[in-house]
Amino acid sequence: MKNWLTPQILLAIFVYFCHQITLYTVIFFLPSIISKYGELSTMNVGLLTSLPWIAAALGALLIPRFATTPGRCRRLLVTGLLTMALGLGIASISGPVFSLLGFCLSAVMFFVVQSIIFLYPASRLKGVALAGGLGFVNACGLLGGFVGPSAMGAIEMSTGNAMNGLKVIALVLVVAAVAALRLRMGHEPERGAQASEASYT
Amino acid sequence: MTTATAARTPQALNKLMFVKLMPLLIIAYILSFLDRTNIALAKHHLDVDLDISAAAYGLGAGLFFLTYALSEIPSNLIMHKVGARFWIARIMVTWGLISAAMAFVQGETSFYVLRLLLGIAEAGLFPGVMLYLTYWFNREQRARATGYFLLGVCFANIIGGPVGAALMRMDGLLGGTAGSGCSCSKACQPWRLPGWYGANCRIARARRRGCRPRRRAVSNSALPGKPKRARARAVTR
Repeated sequence: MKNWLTPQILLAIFVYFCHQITLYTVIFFLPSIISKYGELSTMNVGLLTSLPWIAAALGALLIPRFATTPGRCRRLLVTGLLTMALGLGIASISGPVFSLLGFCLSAVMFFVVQSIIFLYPASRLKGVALAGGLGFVNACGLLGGFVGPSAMGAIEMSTGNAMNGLKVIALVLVVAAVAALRLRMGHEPERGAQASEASYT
Repeated sequence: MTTATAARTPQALNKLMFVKLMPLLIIAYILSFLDRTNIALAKHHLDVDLDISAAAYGLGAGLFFLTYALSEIPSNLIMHKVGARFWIARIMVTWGLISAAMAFVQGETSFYVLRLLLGIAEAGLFPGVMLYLTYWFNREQRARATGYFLLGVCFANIIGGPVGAALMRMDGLLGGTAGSGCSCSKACQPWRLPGWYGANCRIARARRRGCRPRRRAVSNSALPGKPKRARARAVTR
């Protein structure tokens, strides 16, 4: 338990929490957002809803393989979070076509970010502590899955527009990206040794 | 066998591990996600057939996450003790049985109890697999492996709607409610596990021998052909 409450693990949890807020909000709200684009049948809403998930599948298949060194992991993580924020930002301010493209752009990075974030606790914990720690990280992330959709619902109720919720989530993701800049893996040289790291990435 | 001869280099061994380990894990995760979304599809029928109100439904849906979140850490600690093969099989078997038991829900109380149990049973799959991947893949490969595993979420979201709709059409077909159709289809799945996981220890042996499995070591003498009781024993072995 003591091992789990170190600043770096908590930082990873924070980033994961923000990620889960976004993921579950999109899972729950995407169909209803798409159905407001216009006169669409249930079938068409279903098909359009699957587009961002296809983009997410492509991202999950093709991008995480580049996360091989600590430096690359961090860059991919930060880029991924900013891309998610940008995509949701675009989705929240534009018309149907660009809105859907925004969701797709955001979705490409969904599982890139998630697959990298789990490397951080795994690089700092071992054995029993790692087993429990991964459960702890995931349980905390699950809270994001609660908070996200309910906050989104509350924002939609009070402002009458789901898009305002998306803007808030995009902001949260930018904060997460800034936080992710400070993440370091357990085996990574501390600050000051950055120059040598740049040479082998 | 290309797999047997190819595993002589570390790259080939990596490839072999991806091919042997990832498909089953991805399928498991798709099922776990479909399971969560199917309850939303069964909502209407719970109301009509069993008189379970929207509020009770919402509470039931939430109760699942309560026990799910609470059981994740203990589940992973147990998995660390008893091993991934047994524990991930246990997770899938119990959640299949409990999902199937949803078909026999009588009213609000039994609905709540089953949702709580389902949370306990299903917890630990995701963190368990995250732990499992640390056993097999080094840092350079693990993000890639995790990415593949998370494809499960994508597939579940792509096929979730149509599959659920098709299951709903089974309503009345077998004399049961639509909910039971959803549940029973789940219960059949976990039995595929033991054979696959047998393959894992073959890879482990291959690894110990310095990446050079014999042909026999990789050929899959999986269990699907055996009678059900033999398979059931294999799960608890």
